[in-house]
Order: sequence, then structure tokens, then C-alpha cells
Amino acid sequence: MIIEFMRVSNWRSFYGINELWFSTDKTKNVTLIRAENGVGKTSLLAALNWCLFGILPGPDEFENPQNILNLHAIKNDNEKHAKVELEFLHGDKKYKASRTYEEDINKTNALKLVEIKDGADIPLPQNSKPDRFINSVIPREMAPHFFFYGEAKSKYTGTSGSKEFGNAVKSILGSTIANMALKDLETVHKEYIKQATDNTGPEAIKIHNRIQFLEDEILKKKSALNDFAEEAKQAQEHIDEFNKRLAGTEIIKTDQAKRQRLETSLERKKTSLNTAETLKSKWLSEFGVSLLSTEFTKKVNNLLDQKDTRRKIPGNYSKKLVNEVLEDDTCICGRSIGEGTKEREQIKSLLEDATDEMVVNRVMSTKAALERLDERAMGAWQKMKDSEERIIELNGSITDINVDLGIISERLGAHDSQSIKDNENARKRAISQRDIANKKQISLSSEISSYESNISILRKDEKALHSKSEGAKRFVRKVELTTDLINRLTSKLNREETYARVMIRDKLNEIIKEFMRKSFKVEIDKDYKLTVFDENDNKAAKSTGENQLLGLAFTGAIAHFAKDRQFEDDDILLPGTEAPLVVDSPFGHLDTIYKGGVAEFLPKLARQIVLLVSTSQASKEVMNELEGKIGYQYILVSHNKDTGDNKKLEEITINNKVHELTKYNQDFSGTKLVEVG
Amino acid sequence: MPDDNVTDNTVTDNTLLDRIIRQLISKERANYLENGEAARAIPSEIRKIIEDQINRNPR
Repeated sequence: MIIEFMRVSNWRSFYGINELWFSTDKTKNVTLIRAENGVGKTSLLAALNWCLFGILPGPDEFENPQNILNLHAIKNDNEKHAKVELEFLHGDKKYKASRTYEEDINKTNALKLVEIKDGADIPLPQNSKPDRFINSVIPREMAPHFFFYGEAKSKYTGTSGSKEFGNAVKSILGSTIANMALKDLETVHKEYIKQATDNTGPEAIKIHNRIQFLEDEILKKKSALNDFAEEAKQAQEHIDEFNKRLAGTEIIKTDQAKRQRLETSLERKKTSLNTAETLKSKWLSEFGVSLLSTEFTKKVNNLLDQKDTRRKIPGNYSKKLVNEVLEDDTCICGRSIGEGTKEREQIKSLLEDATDEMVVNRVMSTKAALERLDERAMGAWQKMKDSEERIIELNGSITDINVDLGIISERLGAHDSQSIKDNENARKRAISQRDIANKKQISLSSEISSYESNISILRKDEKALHSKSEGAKRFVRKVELTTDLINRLTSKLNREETYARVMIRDKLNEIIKEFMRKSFKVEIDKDYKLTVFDENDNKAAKSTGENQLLGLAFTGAIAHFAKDRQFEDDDILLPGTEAPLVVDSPFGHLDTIYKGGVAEFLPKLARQIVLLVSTSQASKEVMNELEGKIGYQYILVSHNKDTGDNKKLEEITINNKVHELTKYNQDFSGTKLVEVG
Repeated sequence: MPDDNVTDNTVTDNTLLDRIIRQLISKERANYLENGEAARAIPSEIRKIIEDQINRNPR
């Protein structure tokens, strides 16, 4: 999709008709819209989203969402409708999408869509649904990743980031629909199992009821798990808040800095302890077989050394060779060894020590394998000892750090300043609350996993009973088919998601490597949890600006992935799409160098880029970087009916021409879109 | 894209499974596009597709 043109009529702060041409040039692919805060940047982005999908941004980004129709137009012109029209190219055709809002009945009308051919509007074929067509151009679920609201905060990297990121990847893959199918399949599958059980007998019914009970318990425990996760998250937010408050207090700066160092160190020690404990728990699976084989190896070697085995394994002569010589009646030296000859008897006697080659080979390779296991076992006990020593050492360090942290906390908790005392004690309570919630989560997860194992065993028993029952036969086929369908669909979804995670991670690292001054590296695990590491492979602490840059890099990586998938013909997942990347306020918290970096990489992320920026964000570095890439540039001018007494003049100089950003003594109050070259 | 050769331990042939999955997805997609986020589950339609399939290919 390439957007050519947008017309907004009495939309929000935009009074009357305002028109905007988007750059469709491949090199100058940026359309830049500049405005002061609160004039209408977000409204303009919302118009795009609303026209195509009928959705408005959340309350965090959009004030007074009920005011769709321009207030001045209502009062002065008795206007009843707001309208947004959008002309875009898709494939080799041009389309016009439009949507209207009716103030009288507070109604957002359905999307209208026509094809534009030779300047004329051509209705789409009867029965074609505009919503479905738009969804095939930009799937509704992908839209938030192209039309990007807000201060581009890094929603993928925060506490709830993994969920957001997982949702983003799923929406790009279009797996929402596949997941809906999976859910329905599971419902139907359960119904078929129940029918098979009802037609099997009381034993199966008893097992089924037990499974049902355990499943209900799991649901309850999962709900409690979510509650505790939420509690831990909120407690952490409180801790962060108290940390901030304490950090701003000059008199305890030293204690705070020391505490921060200790907490970072504690985090590292805990990670190392976790690794050491994992290594220890894996020790048995790694060395168990080798250790058990040590005794066996000894016995095999003893056996091979015994007198009656010696010279047989490996033997001096091959049984096969001796038999061949005897069959030929001729010795290998050419002498005849007919029946009854002395030489024949001598050769025959060799069979006593001769060995079967196949048996020998098997014994020798077993011996070699056992020797290898033996070698492996030799280092095992040392490794166990090392692991245990490391765990003791780390536990000691953790205890020491906790003691030091406790001392600081005691000191701050008893501080002369009441505010420090209160904040510290509240922080302590929040930490305790977080830790209890985390422990409860661990315990619930373990119970859930135990219930799941029980269910798995019971299901096998139930299945075995079904297979023996004649009455259940016709339902068993349905159970089998739905099982296969669930497995196949799950496996496909997992495979696609893994691939997506890897591709997005690689693109993200590529952007980070090029544009972040620190050597950060991102890893994404199977739960979409994103971890940023520094050059020493330690978890990195990020500034607000770095977080924002990461957020943008994410948007870019996701948009890039969607573009890569645009020609996928999967039938199950959605193909990707290439759509304009419209970003509101991308430079908010960035410093000068990062601003330049973002301005450099954003135009590379999509075929068409629309940037909505405040005048302060469009700094010298940004504009230098965007030079030669801007196709169209606009400003949003705030018109005001009042006189603007004593108000500071707001102007902007673009291409050596001064433009007023705020005008007073005007006929109306509202925003006008002005092209500035 | 990754290789499509998913080797599941299934009773049914993978080509047939994919064909049924496509039918299921098509129904779900129509439901989603029609009703958006408010789309309700459609187990009865899913059941119909599965049972039609079994009736067409009895063992």
C-alpha cells in the first residue's frame, strides 16, 4: 500500500477541509509533518487509522475521544458530519477509502471503498466488502505496528514487554485467526472425548471426571498465578517509584549508589548461581551412564584378559579364512591338503583359536565405546566437586551482599528525615510483597505442572479404554482426527513463531549495531522475553532514550519482517504486507546523536515514511540526516480567535522562509494543514 | 521461510490435515472479519467440517 492523498473534513481540531499529499517518491520517501504539541499530530494519525479500521487510539494517547467533529464547525456552521478520505495505490490499482461520522446520532459509518480509474470513482463489485478488502491490504491486527502512536515508548521492553512483543509477532503472522481455530478445535476435541467416554463404560467415566476435576483445578491455579504475577509487577513498580524518590535525596546519595551497586552485583550472582545449579542438576544426565559403565568396563577388560579368552578376542586366525582353505583342499601356500593328510589336520586344529570376525568386531567396538565412557567418567567427580564449590561460594557472596543491603536498609529506615524513613520502610514492604508473590508463583507453577503430568497419564488410560470399546469406535475416529489437527496446527504455529523471533532478533541487532553507541545485543526467548546484554554479556541497564530507540528499532524490525512476508502464500497464516510507516513523535527522549541515528534509519525501514514531529524534535541533526529524503513537508498551524495578548510568537523557518505556527485574531479556533515545500 | 516438512506423529496424512486446516481457517477468518474482536467461537461450524470429512472418507 502506498498512500497518495488524505482529506480530512472537520476532523477533531482540523476545521473545514484540510488536504495532505504524501510522498510516493522512492528516494525522497519521507513526508514530514511538523507542529507544536497539542495542535493535531496525533489526531492526524488517528484519522488514518479511523478511516481504514474505524478504531481510535487509547485514552493515553487521545484526549476527549468523543469530540470527533470539529467544535467550531458544530457551533458556527451547524455542521453534522466529519469525514476522512484516503487515496492509495495497491497492486496496480488506485482506491479511495472514506468514512464519515454523524454527530446527531453519534455514529461512525461503515467504510466506503471505490476504485479510481481515469479520475472517476468506480464502485467495487457487488457483494465485495470494503472491510475485508482493507484487511487484505493491511491486516487490522498489523495496523498498530505501522501507524505508531505515542512517544514511541519501548512497550516491547518493559515489564509486560514480552506479552506485547509476543502479540506483535502473532499479529504480524496473523496467527490470531489460527489460534481461534485452535481454541474451537480443542472445544470440539473435548466434546468427542466425552462422547467416546460416555459410550465406553463407568471406568472411563471415572477417569474422565478425574481429568475434568484436575483441569478445573489448573484453571483456578492459573488464575491465581496471574493474580500473583500482577501483584509482583505492581510491587516492583512501587519499588521502582520508591527508588526514584530516594535517588533524588541528596543526603543519602552515597548509600543509594552503594545499594545500586550491590543490587546489580546481587543480580549477577543470582544468575551465576542459577547457572551453577542447572549444571549440577544436569550432572547426572551428563555423566550417569559413564559412571554406571565404569564397573562394566572393568569387567569386560577382565574378561578379555582371562586365559581362555586371550588370543581369541581378537583371535590370531579368522574362522572364515580357515574354513575356506579347508573347503578348497589347498593351503594358501599352494600345497594340497586333501582328506587324511597331516597338513589338513594341522590347519583344522587352527579352528580352536580362530574367531568369528563379526563377533570380534562387535566385542571390540563395545570395548572401545566403554573405554570412551570410562574416559568421560574420569572428569565427572571433579566437575561435581567444582559445581558444589561454586554454589557454596556464590551462596556465601549472596548472603554477604544481602547483609550489606540489610544494613543500608536499616540505616535508611531509621533515618532522621521522616520522608526518607517512610520511603525506605514502604520500599521494604514492597520488596517483601514482591518476594512473597514470586514464591507463590513458583509453588503454583510446580503444582500446575504436577497436575498436568497426572492428566497426561489419565488421558493415556482413558484412550486405552476407548480403543477396547466397540461403542466408542465412531467417536474415536473423530478424537484421532481432531488430535492430529491440533498437533499439526500447533506445530505449524510454533515453527512460524520461532522463525519470526529469529528474523526479528537479527534485524533488531543489525539496527542496534549500526545506531546505538553502546554494544548492546538483544536476545529473545521462546516466551518473547527480551533481554538486552552489554558487551560483557551482562544484562544491560538502559536509559529512557535507549529504551525509546529500542522501541523504534523494534517497530522497524517488525515492519521489515512484515514486508519480507508479503508474498508468503501460506493459507493458514496471513501473508505480510508492505505499508507506510507512520510514526508520531519518534525523537522524544533521544539525545542529539540518537536523534540523528533514528533519522538515518527510519527512512530505510519502509517504502513510505510519514513522520509527525514537534518543532523541537526536528532538530538540526534530524533535519541534516533527513536532507534529500523529504518529498513533502507540512506544518500544522494553530488558529485562534483570541488576541493572544502577551503570548510568545511561535514561528518556524523552513528553507529560509519564516512561517507562523500560531495565529491569533482568526475567524475560527482550530488547526490548518499548510504545505511548506 | 522455514521448511514446510513438519513431521508430526499423526494418524492422518499431512496433506489431508492441511486441507482441513485451510477450511477451518477460512471459516474462522470470515467470522473474524465479520465480527472483529467480538467474534464468538464457532465450534459447531468446526464440528461440521470435521464430520463432513469423516463421512467423505470413512475407514
